[in-house]
Amino acid sequence: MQSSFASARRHQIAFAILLTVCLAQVGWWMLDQWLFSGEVRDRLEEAHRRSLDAAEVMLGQGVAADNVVAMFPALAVSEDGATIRIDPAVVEALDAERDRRRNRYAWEGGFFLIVLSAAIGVLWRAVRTEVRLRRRQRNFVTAVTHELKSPLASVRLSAETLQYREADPKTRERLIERLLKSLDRMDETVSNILDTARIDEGKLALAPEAVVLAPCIHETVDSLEAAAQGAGVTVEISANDELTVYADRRALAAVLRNLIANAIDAAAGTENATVTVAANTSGLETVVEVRDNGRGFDSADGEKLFEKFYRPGNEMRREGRGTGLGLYIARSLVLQSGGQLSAHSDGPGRGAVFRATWSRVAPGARTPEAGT
Amino acid sequence: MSSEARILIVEDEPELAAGIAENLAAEGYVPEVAPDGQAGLDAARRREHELVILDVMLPRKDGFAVCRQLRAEGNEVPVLFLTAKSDPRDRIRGFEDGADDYMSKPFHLAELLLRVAAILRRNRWYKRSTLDRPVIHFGGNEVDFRTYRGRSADGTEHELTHKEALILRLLAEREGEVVSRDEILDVVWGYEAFPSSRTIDNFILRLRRRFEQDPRAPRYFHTVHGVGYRFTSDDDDR
Repeated sequence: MQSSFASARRHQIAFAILLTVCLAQVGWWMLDQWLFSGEVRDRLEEAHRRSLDAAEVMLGQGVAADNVVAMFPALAVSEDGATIRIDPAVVEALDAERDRRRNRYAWEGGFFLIVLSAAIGVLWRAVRTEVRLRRRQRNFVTAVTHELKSPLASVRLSAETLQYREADPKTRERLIERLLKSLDRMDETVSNILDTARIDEGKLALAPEAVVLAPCIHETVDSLEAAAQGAGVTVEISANDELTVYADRRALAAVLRNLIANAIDAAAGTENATVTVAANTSGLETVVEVRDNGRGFDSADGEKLFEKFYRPGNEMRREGRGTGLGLYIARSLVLQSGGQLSAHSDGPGRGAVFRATWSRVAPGARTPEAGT
Repeated sequence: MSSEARILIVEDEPELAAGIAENLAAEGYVPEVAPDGQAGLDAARRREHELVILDVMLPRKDGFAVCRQLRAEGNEVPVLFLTAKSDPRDRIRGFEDGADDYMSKPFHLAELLLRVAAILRRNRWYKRSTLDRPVIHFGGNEVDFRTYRGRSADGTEHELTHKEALILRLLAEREGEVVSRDEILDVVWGYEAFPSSRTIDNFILRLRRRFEQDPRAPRYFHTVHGVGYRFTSDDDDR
């Protein structure tokens, strides 16, 4: 892990060097052409001046001015007819030719620079994405290690305590309950990893149907009640009993569970920690908002939250539980049911709201009850 | 087992923290649980503990940072890292940050209890020994084991780490005798010899650099080749 990460960094550096060399090369080429065009013009003018010298010698030898000029096409008799000079039109043409060349090189060079920059920009992005993904994957491995090993340690500890100590029935019960809870956590982590693999392989088969939302929400909140109580978080629900969504039942439950568990986790530790789950209709859509008054996030990070392996904090500091897969899974599930999932926060420490929308009915279906 | 030892558990996995706390209580210790790094640091500042069992990956503040900060504040409470990170680099980092022991998850209950007992025993020995003879003098050097401060002959002040103080304490207590590397490992690092004997050599080198006028020709910290080390407070046996 470490070494592949370092090699990605090396690629980036090599890339920057390559870019600098390319740009320098193009710049040098343009400058060279620019100077050369001027030089060619000056050399041609110099040649004409030499013909002028020769013409003047001939004039001095008594050759008629018209005859001399006829021999040197670049020369002309001055307007007063007394002297010979380089034809101003020729000088003008030289200047024009030089400027034309310079112009052309500027365009060609400029165009080349743009193409080069665009190509390099594309490559750069690819490399940077790769680096970021690798860093996140490393973070993921650490997170999964923690997510599996901590409950595993707890399972082992409970089992060993049972084996090691004479426990009265009440203690036994408590230990077994703790053991099961830890197993649930491990199960959840493993399921998340497997779900992610399935999503990535496109193997997730969803069977959307019209689902009545409120019972789903209540069920999820009930199953998280213990966790919420443990964390000192109050969960409030506001959902109309008649609301329906068109979604896969299991996927819907998974999304709700994910969002609500996240919110409880984020709210834990704040004063008056509250999570509100509100469901409403908006046109043909049902909107579920899960709001907490906890940790929040930098609004610039809103989209990152849904990226695979993304976790706030770093690999050492763990801001809450999780593998960085939950929201990725949630969004994939919502998107595959034709819905949307977005996140908003006013900033760190100022709470967050996650907003999922689903179609209320099967897309294109006309249900008479849709008006309720 | 000597009881009443207050032990602070900093662990964000509530089931695990509760399990450890119950087992420690059953052994007669007095456990206290903190759910994140910052809470752990606050708890350690608020009252004295005989041991802190510290997770590494924690919300708000990671375990390494907590340990570093405690040490920076002069809190020399023994720290046992209990973490999912089992990479040798993490272990080394833990020890560098001032840990006394390091266990990876999942662990065996019996082993945890043994290690806890070993750390407490070690520390109590140190405290008792310090009470008997809080300050030692050798050559022009002076070391105060209560404050972990030393002054070398040239007047330079040194701050000793817990481990350095333990080694010096052990050697001074057995002045004139050869103390084997294994014994040092056992007393200073606990029953499972994690570090190699090279680690001890490095600690001795550090002590020499601080308190010997010429570290290459030591007068107080003698190497007995193939066995261990001997400490002498006067330089008559050069």
